Amino acid sequence: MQLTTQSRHPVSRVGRWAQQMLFNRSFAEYISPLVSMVDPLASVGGIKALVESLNKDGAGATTIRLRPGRQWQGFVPGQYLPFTFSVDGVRLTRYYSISSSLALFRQFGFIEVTIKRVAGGSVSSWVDSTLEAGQIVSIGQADGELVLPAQLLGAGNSAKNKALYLAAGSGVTPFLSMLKTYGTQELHQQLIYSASSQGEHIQQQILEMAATANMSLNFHDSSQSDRLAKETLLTLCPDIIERQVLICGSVEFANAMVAALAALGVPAANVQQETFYSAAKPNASEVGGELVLQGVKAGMPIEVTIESNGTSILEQAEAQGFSPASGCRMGICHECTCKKTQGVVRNLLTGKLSSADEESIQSCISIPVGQVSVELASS
Amino acid sequence: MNAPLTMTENMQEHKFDVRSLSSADVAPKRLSPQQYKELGEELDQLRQQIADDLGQSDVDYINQVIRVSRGCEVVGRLLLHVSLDPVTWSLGVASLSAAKILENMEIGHNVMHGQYDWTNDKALSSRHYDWDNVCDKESWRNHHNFEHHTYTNIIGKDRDYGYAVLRLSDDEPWRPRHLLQPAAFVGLTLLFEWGVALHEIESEKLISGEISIREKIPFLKRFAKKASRQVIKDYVFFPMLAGPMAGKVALGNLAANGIRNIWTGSVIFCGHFTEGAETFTEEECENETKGQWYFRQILGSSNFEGPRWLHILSGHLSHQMEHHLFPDIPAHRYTEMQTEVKRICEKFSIPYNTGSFKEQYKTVLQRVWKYTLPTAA
Repeated sequence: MQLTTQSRHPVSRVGRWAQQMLFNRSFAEYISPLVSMVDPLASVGGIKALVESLNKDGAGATTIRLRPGRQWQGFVPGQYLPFTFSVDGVRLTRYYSISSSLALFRQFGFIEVTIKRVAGGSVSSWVDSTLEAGQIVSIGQADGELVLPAQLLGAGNSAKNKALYLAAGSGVTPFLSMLKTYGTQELHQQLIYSASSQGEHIQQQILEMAATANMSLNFHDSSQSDRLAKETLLTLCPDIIERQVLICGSVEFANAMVAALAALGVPAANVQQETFYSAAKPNASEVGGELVLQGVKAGMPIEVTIESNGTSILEQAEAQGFSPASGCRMGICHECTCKKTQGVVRNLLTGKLSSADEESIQSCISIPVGQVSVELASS
Repeated sequence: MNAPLTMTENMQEHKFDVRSLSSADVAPKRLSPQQYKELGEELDQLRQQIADDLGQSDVDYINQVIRVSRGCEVVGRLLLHVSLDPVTWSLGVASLSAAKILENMEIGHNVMHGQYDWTNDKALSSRHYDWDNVCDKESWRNHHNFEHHTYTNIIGKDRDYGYAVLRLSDDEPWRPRHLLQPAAFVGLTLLFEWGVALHEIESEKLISGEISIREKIPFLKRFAKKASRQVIKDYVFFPMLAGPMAGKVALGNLAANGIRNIWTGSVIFCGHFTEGAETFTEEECENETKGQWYFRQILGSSNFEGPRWLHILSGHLSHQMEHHLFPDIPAHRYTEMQTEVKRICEKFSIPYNTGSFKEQYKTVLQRVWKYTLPTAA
């Protein structure tokens, strides 16, 4: 969990007190509604980006080209950034990897992300149906560790500078940025992309690059055959053992790839991965425990006891009419952190079970296991 | 910590003791268990209907009010700072008063009720929002959102009823000190924000010895922290900026705070102390169902009518009945909910207490005067 530490320096303490005294909040928060009338891209109270254009492939994928405000500090190919959209008045935050090249940002100030419409996904559906060019969205600084190590990008023994990208589904987007950015460098890049239906849009972007030298691309149709076997990996990439391997996809995909790479003898030090989890699937053994939710409903403190349906505590609380604080709904932002007073929960991201003690948990990625009591935080 | 109000399905007939309705009203002494159930269902349904409809336009509305309020504050303080003549100074006071009234009523009170928590916007979050008022926000959320809205008009539990200063029903026995009640009423109106800020101290329990001042030290610390910030802002910092003209700025700020106090106090008195607004005993509210809770909220509150700007300046507490039924629905929606609430009240023969601001305020004054003197119960 990231903790924002406030400076204890006397000057900044006086500054904070003065802002509270004058505005009951920070000066930036106070003035931002007024400033936004004049300059919508002004960065008081958070970084903004202008939606420059939208490119839809007709199959539910939208590539958004954005111009971030001046306070945005740039990115390294492979990184993601948070987007906050106002979907029907509700601010929802999602993280998307940048799929465009570094050159596009450095020369023209644009970045691109590709968002695929997910069935039942409130943000991706809204992006597909409602987002328009000219709108202002809130963004954050780029972040993420899935970037090529510096020594691979340096000049030198070019024969050894090789990277292999293993992507599943929408996990391909960070690699699009790398392929576009490093296409002209002394680096051989290979992408093995496993997807059940290759979105036209993403496929098109990849094919555009295929002509470039120093690059090989392989599609693996995961609807036809099972997950990439280690034999398939070796056939597609005979020099796999010499490569830096970057993996991006679901937890299941990444786990399978790590195991296959280990079996092929790829040193663990050469493997990097980034995972995301897709909608929680109830686990049969975790349905039916007693879940006690304490929170505020219609302005009144109330306690509700339900039979757990095996989904996250956040979803079950919302289904009961509570509106607990929440943010990214994927275990990143910690907005939904609440207090578990007793019981064991399973962390959806790690699969691990918690202790039975009182502790803070992220309600969006915590599934009750047996009897659990939670104090919800109001937003 | 008080236990949450339990809503049992155990329907008992409650004899609601209707004490203070005027003879013109046809008061329901009680509803049948079945009627309470239906009343609860109909109001739940109305709540859900509006909750489902909340969206971008509600966010746009409150953000617009925030912009107007902040704009008025900046303009008001500038005018007070540069004014050399009474007209500019008065315009400054008017602008700053409007800013403070909008901020306290339509923005602060409503945001702190959690009406905009669904937006996930930190600036509109009940947990984070702090208002331009000497009352500490945590104290407010406890005594107002929880106590007053849960135990509305239950004598002994809802300390907002008379603010422990006024005797407004025969539930409280008459004492000679109540002869000073008209003066106390004027004082409470003029210093309303201070009354609200010091509410949690429970002076009546301190005087009776039920609690000791020691127990109130954490509250007093929070109160001092918030109140000192507000006082320094309006009576030290901004006046000092004007150098030798500090006096007129301080006076302007005092006037703006005073105007805000008179207005907010009067709006709130019209919401619960009017002629038709009823009181309840703790016994009759034990084990009450959701339907009975709704019933009490309607009978314990009163509305006033007027043009749209009046509703906005009152933070839509001109729709106090709707606010008490649905405290966490964005208040600017109460106007459209009113039609349906009226229909439901008519269906169950529950009096719908409304009138012009002037009429309602007159009955408040009458009530204050009536209980100043000893009355034969």
